[in-house]
Amino acid sequence: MKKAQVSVPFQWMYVLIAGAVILMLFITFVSRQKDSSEKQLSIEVTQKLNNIFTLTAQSTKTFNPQRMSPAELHFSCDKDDVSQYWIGKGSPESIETIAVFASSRIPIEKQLDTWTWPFDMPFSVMNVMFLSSPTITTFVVYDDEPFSETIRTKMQEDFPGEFNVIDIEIDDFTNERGYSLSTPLVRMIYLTDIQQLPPRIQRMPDQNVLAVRIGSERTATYYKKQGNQLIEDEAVAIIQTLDDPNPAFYGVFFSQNAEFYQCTMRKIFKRMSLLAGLYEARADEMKREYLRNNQRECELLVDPDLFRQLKQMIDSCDGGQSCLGQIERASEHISQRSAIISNQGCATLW
Amino acid sequence: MVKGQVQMTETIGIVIVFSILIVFALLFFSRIQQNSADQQRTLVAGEKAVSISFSALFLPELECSKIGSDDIKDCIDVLKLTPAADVINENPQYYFKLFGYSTISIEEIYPVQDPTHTWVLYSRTRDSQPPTEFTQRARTPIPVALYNPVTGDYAFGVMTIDAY
Repeated sequence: MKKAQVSVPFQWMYVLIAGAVILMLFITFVSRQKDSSEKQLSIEVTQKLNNIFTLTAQSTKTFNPQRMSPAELHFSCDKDDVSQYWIGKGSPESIETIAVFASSRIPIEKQLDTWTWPFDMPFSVMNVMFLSSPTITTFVVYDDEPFSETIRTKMQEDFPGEFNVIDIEIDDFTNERGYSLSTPLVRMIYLTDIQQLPPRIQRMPDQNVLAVRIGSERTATYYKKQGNQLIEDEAVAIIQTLDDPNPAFYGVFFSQNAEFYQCTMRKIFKRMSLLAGLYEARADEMKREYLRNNQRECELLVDPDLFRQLKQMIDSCDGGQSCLGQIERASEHISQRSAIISNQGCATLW
Repeated sequence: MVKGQVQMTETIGIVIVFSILIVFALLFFSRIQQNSADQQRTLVAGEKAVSISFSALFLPELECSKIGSDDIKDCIDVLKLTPAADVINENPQYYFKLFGYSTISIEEIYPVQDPTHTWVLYSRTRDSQPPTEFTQRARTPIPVALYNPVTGDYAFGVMTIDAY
């Protein structure tokens, strides 16, 4: 073989190798850039959500539609009280000190709806947050019974009109009269007995349908969709707050299931227990101050034991109807005592 | 020099120059990435500091009673300060989730300004050592009213939140 014949294939090989190296570099560069921008977007959205959760949790009685990039928001809250949220396949962020009532999955097209309401029992415990999105249609299914009417009237007074809620009579709902359905997720709140599912909802994937039946203002039962029907899942007991609206009641509407609801309620009770301990110590401090100032009447009226008992009740409560009733009565007692103390010109208990 | 040797030297020269250019490009790119990551970190730290400040300011553990009024803002009940510090100390894991690496302190400025009227409610640094003047931090001072519900006296104070 001549020298020229050797050098030509060598040049081609060289060009090929150099080209492959350059191509590899470009591919690596582009894929790294793609990974990093996806990670950055996830961090940015997570950071924005963190701010939303922290700042919204401080502003009470407000409905806030938050503009967001399309994403799928996931929540978990389990029996071990591990409470987290994450976006798409992003890493989870803890929300163990924020009470959030939400479904396990919220698809966001451009808006996340947040509504906050204070949980006072009788002292201010925390602001409870309700999350939804226009991609979730909520049907409030009613009949002509007085209970349905009472709850609907309350909801009309309390619920922000901006939520994607359809108030519908059971026959119209079952026969698909007077509404259209285009959202990927559906939530049904039955204020009546559950009947057959509408055909369109029957055809939806099971995990995209949430259902809860409100038995009374103190009990609710969650259902799971299995094929064409709803199967009873688990019931929850609802605590009554001293003031209306009761965030623990509306929390049932927004929660994925009984486990989610009870987990969020445990977060509220944990904070309430810490605060009861704090108010017990504060009441002790108040007694000492009144003694120093020689205000015997006020000193006698202040009773730290009320908070100690409340704390014990909260710590030993399993979420059942009877212990929730005890907590309600203890809170009511503290509220009444505080009003008496206040009328005597002394400082309130909280 | 033979023609083949000249061509080989040229080829090696081109490969070296090409490699140097690629190294420069990579260095330049990684510097830009580093800068944007630093900027992002600073931004996130700033936002974190603001959110810790909000959490501290609206803490039910400190707030004045809202009975009869929803408008009591930036008011701290002095009778809650010592019990709140105790509850926070007894439940460090819970409050770490709220305040992260930060120090929250309240100091009375008027009418009395002395060390006995300063309360450190929470403190946690990244190295678990007490913060020094060289510890990097984002400081947020917030003026607050300090109210004693027993005597009915008001004082003026500052809540300082250092986020590390």
